[in-house]
Amino acid sequence: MQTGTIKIKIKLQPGWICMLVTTGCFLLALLWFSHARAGTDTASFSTWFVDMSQYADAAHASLKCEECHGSMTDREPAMGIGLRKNHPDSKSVDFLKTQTKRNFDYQVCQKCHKIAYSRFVKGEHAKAAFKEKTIGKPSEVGFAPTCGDCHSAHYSKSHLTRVQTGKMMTQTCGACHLEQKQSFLANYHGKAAVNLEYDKAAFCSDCHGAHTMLSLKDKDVVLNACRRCHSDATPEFASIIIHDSTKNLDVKSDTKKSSLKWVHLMRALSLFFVIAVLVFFYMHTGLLMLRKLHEKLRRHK
Amino acid sequence: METRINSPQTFQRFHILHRILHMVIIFNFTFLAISGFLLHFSGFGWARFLIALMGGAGAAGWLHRFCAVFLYFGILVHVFWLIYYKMVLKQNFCGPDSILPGKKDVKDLFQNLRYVFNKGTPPLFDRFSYLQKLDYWGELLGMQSMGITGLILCFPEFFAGIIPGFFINIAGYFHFYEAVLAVMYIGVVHMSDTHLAPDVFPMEKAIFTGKIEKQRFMEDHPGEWKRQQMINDQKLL
Amino acid sequence: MEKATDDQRPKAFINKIKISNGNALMNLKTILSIIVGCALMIFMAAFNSTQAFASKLADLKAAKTIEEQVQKPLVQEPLLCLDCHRMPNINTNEGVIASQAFCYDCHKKEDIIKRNGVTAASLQITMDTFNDNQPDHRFIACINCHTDIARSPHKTQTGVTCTKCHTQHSEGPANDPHLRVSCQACHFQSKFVKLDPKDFKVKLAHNDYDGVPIILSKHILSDVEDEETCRKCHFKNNPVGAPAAVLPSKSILCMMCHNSPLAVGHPVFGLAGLIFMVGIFFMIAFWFKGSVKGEEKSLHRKISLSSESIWNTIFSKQVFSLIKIFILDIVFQRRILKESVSRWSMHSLIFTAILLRFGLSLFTAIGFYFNPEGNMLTALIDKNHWFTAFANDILGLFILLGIIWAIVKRFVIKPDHVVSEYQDNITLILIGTLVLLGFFLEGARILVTGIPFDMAVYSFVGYLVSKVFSIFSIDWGQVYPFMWYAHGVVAAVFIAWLPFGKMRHMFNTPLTYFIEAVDGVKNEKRV
Repeated sequence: MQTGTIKIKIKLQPGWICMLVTTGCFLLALLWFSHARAGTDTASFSTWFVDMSQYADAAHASLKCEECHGSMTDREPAMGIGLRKNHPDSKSVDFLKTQTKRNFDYQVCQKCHKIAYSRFVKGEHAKAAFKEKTIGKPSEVGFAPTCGDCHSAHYSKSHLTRVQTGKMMTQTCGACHLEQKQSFLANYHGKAAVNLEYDKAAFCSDCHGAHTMLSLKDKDVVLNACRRCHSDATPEFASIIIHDSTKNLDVKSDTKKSSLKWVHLMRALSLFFVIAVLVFFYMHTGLLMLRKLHEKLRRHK
Repeated sequence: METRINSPQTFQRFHILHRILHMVIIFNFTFLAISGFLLHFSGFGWARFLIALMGGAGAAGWLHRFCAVFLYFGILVHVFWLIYYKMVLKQNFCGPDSILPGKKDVKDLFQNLRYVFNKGTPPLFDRFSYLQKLDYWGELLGMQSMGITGLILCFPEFFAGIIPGFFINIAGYFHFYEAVLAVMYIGVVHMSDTHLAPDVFPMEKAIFTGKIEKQRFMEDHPGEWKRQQMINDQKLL
Repeated sequence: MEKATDDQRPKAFINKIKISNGNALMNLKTILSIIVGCALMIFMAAFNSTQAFASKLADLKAAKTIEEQVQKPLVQEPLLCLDCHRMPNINTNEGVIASQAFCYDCHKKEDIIKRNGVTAASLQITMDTFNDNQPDHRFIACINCHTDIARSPHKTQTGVTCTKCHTQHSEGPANDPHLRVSCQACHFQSKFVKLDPKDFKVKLAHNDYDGVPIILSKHILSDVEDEETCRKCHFKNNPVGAPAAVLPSKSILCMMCHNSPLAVGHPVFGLAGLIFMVGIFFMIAFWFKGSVKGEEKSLHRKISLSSESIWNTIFSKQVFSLIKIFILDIVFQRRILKESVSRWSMHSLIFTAILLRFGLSLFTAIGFYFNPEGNMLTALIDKNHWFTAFANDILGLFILLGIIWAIVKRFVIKPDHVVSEYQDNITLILIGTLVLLGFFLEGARILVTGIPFDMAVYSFVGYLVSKVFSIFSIDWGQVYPFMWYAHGVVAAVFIAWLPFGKMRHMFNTPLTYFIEAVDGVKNEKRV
């Protein structure tokens, strides 16, 4: 068999092999961590059933059903705080059409959680609930939340760390306030706190209060919130925009609304500049490389 | 800076100080880019892994600021050297050896574009080609704007006393987009121009060793080569 | 022995070597080839089984026993909360029975009706009816499929999820537009479908086209082999944006540009494939008319010599130089770049784009075969996914630009070195028509299926075409099948014609490069 002999130019040296193997391992490690770590699960809706094994692991494990829900035969207020009947009426028009959370009387939580309840009653969410009752329909954001909308009474665990609580809070609050959640996660605070689990960064409740749910439209309230961590903050510091998105502008103060327009204008300009420069120089380099390669190939004898 | 003759084949192109400063730039730029983008893209799993390697969010933040200061220190050293160059060595900032952009550079750009489309010869560069000048000025000026926006982001309480609050938001966007520009430019354009050029592939070593080969000198910087030869001829006379 | 003459001695010597070494080597290699071939066949066969279907042969006697037990009345005791509200473990038989009993408690009644204002539809389903219509799902709890129904309000937000247990279809039956069709829309017997504007999916309609609610609760399955089932959506003026005819799926021939199933498909493609193979056969037969390594006469010897040579080259160090030539000269087209940058650009626009498309479709076909549940692969099959949409459009645009450049060069500029023969024109016409028809089809698809802007914008060319098409008041749903068949026929003609015209340089040129490298032909003398 006649076969020509070709000089193989690539020599597989041990150095190359080592480097390739190391790079491969590093890339594999990166891929391993690439699955997005979901926050702790909160049930987006409650079902008719209670998972008793999860209930046993949760904070209310020592409580019996009747202590919050009243006994099976109760038709009247039994605990003195106005509990309703336990089961919906199968004959009523609304049967199986309303959410259980809207029908449960969460005043029963006050029995143990006195401070949280009293703070909640003073906050924005309670105000929204009152408004909803007077108008008769929910706001654009959704139903005004009560205890059960943010806390799962059956499955909430106790003694979570600051970061765990914070991450869960981001998902819970974000379920109704989606824009704010997204803009929070695009901001330094969100990235450091939620993604990088940096203890010192702020979560939702650090600025907005845990149950009081402060509206941060007023500049003094904002400054007070910032000073919780940034003790040197001047009044103008409160003008820095955290939730930087163009939707849901009604909750912002007027100054922030107009500053936001400038911010996005400068952002668009700088992005345009960057893209223009890159496009021009990439084309320049690409074409120049082709031309030089062509020259080199012609010179090669 | 003129080039001195070391051996018949290579010539001294870069002073030791410049080489050290370039290494400083490489080191700091790389770590600045890594630590910065890891914060911005922290939503991804791979970013969290790398931050964990660095020692957590706090450590990565410290590294970013440290490298920024270190890099700016390098620029200050360069500025002092410029003063030394002008005052002590009594050299000229302008002239054919200059890194300042000029009309010739614009002409060279268009000539290069004509060469790409096979409508002319490649341009004849002097000591610095227009792309090399762009690299220099991009770094020098870019460092100023990145430095200022970085300082604003680092000390927002202080700056909120001087500028309106939303300027800090703008500074955040400028800092990010300029970082993207810097990395994309250096990574592709600078690397192609220096290392991927077919004549010097796989690597151009002059900025590291300081010496340039005769062949490269004649081809890449013919203007300077001619002047060098004329000076040598005068010396011989 | 008589001294052999100078002419005869080399021949006799060579013959001796061939006989003495050739046979021994041949035997070992034949055996090795047979073993490798068998192993490959077994390997491929093992992956050919369909996945994830429930066993049909359950024990009927055991089923009857369990069913009878459920009918027995429970002991009457005062009820406690957890008697009903404890979550059953539906991974166990008892849990499934308890969970099903909870649902059947209301749903077995005849007066379980859903009211829609004045009209009403029955929601009744008994255990017997369900077990008759869905025997495979007999031992599966209702909430296993109706995952979020066991709550107040008694409505589902997520719908029924079949993919919890069943892997989705491969490319053939899935046929990328069907990615946005829910499983039930094809597999459940009901004549009426609707397009859900929220998530842009085709689902079973709850009312017929006159607005009267229909009964879906009987869970009756349809026969998906019957074309009548397809006509549920594929008819003139349908409400879901499907083309007005039942179209065949793509063929493996389409793989040069598209994600295709590993099947021949429509007879037109079969015929094209056959003609292609006949052409290849003639091409190779023509090659073997010449001499192979000195052998002129015996075809058998020529074939064995060339096979030996190929085998030896592949399993030797020379394979690295072949790989280098493949990467530099075939993928990157170095030799054209040596001639001219503009020629390289023009050819690469066409060639590299097709090569990338082929690479992508090959990767998708093989990957999907091995892992049909992969997210990345589903994204690659989905023409509306941003990556697939953008990649296909930009590569298609490159091909079109390259063809236009070639046409302009060949017919307008007419440089001296370009000589146009009819085969060149055929190539340009075929590829050009193919790409144009492809973009028209894409535009019609985007328009007819009503894909929203934020998805369609990634297929930027198709989106523009759809905008242009929307100006004309034509029923594009009816035009689409004709365009589809035109595209298919042109593609079939192109594939069939490949070995006959100048396009066969696709096969010849790489082979020539490889042989030159192996035979040590010097650079200057290379073709």
